[in-house]
Parts: sequence; structure tokens; C-alpha cells
Amino acid sequence: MNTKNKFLFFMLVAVMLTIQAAPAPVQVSAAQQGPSLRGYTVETISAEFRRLDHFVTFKGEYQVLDVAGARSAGIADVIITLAQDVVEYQNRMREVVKAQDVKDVEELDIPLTEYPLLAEFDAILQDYKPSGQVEPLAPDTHPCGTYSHPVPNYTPPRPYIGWYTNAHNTLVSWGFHQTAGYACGQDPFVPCELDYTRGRGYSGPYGYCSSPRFRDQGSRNAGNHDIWIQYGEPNPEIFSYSWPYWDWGWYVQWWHDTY
Amino acid sequence: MPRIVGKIVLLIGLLATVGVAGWAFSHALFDFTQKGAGVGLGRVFFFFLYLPTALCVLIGGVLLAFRDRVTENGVVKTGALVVSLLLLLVAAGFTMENVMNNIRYYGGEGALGVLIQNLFFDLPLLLLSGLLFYLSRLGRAK
Repeated sequence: MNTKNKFLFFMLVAVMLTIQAAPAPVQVSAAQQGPSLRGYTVETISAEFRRLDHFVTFKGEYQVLDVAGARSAGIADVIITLAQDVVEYQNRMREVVKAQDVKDVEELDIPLTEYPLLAEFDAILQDYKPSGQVEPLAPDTHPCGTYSHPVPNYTPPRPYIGWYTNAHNTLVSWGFHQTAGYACGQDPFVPCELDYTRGRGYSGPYGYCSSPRFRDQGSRNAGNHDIWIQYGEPNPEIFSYSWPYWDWGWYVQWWHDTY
Repeated sequence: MPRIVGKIVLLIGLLATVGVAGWAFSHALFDFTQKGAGVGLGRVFFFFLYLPTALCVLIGGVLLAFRDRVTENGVVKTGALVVSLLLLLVAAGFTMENVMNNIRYYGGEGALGVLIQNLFFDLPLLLLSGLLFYLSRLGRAK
């Protein structure tokens, strides 16, 4: 082997060794890579989550996301998947709290590894700093709603939930009770027959209004089989809980007259 | 002098009663085929707050202006006693039911506040009941 050939041979060996030592490029298909929150910000995700409010319901103690409904409303798949992660995570939190009788949810330590999008969102939140110029809330707003800024400012949808052998018992098992008579326009001393209430809090555009100032309204037909639920409206059982502000009772009447 | 004041108070009471009745009609509160939270709350406000307040003024005026006629009329006095006791029962029943509902359905959170809130809301009804009771106990002026 002459000098030139030796040089070429060593060069070839060196190149081959370099190729072998270098990490093999991973062939990842789009499906394996999974959805990513790239291009989303905390603000845009928060706005999308508000659009999902109507599609997250309670089945008993656990939350359920209506994926088909959310898709038909034009919400992006990645946001729906993230919302599924959030719902599953929260349901798991509830399970753990029940099983371990945990008093403070901050004591819970459920790893996010099984919830990749939620983990990504968590990472975004870690780095998130609200912009300095935060728009101050108008003085006539309140987390629970006011005449000028009602919460919600629309009639919540009232989806049909389904057919059950005993709708009354089903609603009761989901945490509903028969609404007080005055709150459905009947005899104030006799609970409503077909109208049900489940107290809840509400996250609106002006903050969180604590439970039970809002309610989910369940209703069933006289045959005791069909169930409808309207999610999130000011709780008209105004005499059974303390008011968030002094004229809340009148506001609730106005809200129900309006929406 | 108390008679003149009484007649003025009576007039105010009458106007207030007509006013709140007009408000109730405009909100279809007497159309009992109407159901729903809005109309239901409107009825509670009317029967527990607006009407008793107006009637308190009205009866106060009657007591000041026509005290003698009231004390001479046994039927009015008996009626006032019965209505007074019924109003007391309604106020107590409504308050108890609401506090019980707070304990049963909302875990008793703020039950004391709910009780105070209900008693405050019952004030016009309790005041009317007291006024009617006073009226029923009136004796002849000597």
C-alpha cells in the first residue's frame, strides 16, 4: 500500500467509526411524537379552557369531558387532549383523597409522567410570568357576577343526559337534591317535584365564585326516566346559603328573569 | 294631630301597597301557571318583603287614624290575632326550612349566617305580625 492508499484507507475507517459512534437518528412518526402545546400560550390555553366549560360535566363525583361535543364546537384536538389529561388527573386526585382520607390536596403527590400534555402545560406554567400590564378588573365586576357583568352572560345549555330506570334516584346519587319550592316558582314549603339542584362553585372571567353560590340544575320528566342537566347558573336557593354580597338575592332573581 | 299624621301614613301605605301590587302584576307573579326560579324568587320577595313592608305602613296609619274604630270592632281584632299568629308561623317555618336545607344540602357551611340572614329577611313579616298582635290586644281608650 502506498502512502496515498494508506491515507485513503485510514480516512475510510475514521469516517465509518464516526458514523457508528454517532447516535442513530430516531425515526419518529407524527403519531408517536404525540400532540404538543407548541404555539400555545397560557393565555390562549386559558381562553380555550373557558370554551370547554360546557363540555365538562360530573358523573357522580367524577368529571367527564364530552370529547365529541368539544370537537364539534371546533376546539383543537391538542386542547381536548390536554383537557382530558386535566380531567383524568383531577379524578385521580379525588380517588386518592378518598382512599387515603387526605385533608389537604397540597399533600398529594401524583406524578405527571402519565399525563404528557399536562406535564408540558405545567412546565409552561413554571416559566410563566404574567405581563406587567395586567388589565385591571372593572370596579363593577365580581367573581359571582353583577348586573353589568353577569356570570355567565348567556343561558347555559341544557343537554339531554339519558334514559335511566329511576331518574330521581340517579340524580340524587349524583349529588342533586330536589330544589326548594320557592326556587322553582312553586309552593315555598314543598320541594320541587321535577327540578333538582346541585350546589357548586364557578370559575368565570372575573375569578372564582365559591360553592354553593352556583348550581347545576337537573330536571327529569314526569315518567321518571329522562334526565337533563344545565351546568353552572346562580343558585336560586338563596335563603339556604350565605350571599357573596348584600344584593345577591335580587341579582339572582334578575339573572333568572334575564337568561 | 295623631289622626292627621295617621291619615298621611295611611295614604303612603295605600300607595306603597298599590305600587308593590302593580310591580307584582307586571312580573306576572299572580299567574300561578308561571314557574321558574325568576318568578319564584319574585314571589318570595313580594310576599315576604315588599307587601309586608307596605302593609306595616298601612296598618300603622290605620292604628293612628282610626284607633277607636279598631278597638270597638271585635271581628277585626280577632282576625288580626289569627293573621298575626299565622305570619309568625310562616316566618318561623320558612327560616327553619332554609337553615335545615343549608345543613342537609350544603354541609351546614355558614348555618349561623344563613339563620341571621333569614331572620333579617323575615323582619317585615315579623314586624307586621307584631303590629297585628298589638292591634288585636288594643283596649278601649279611657
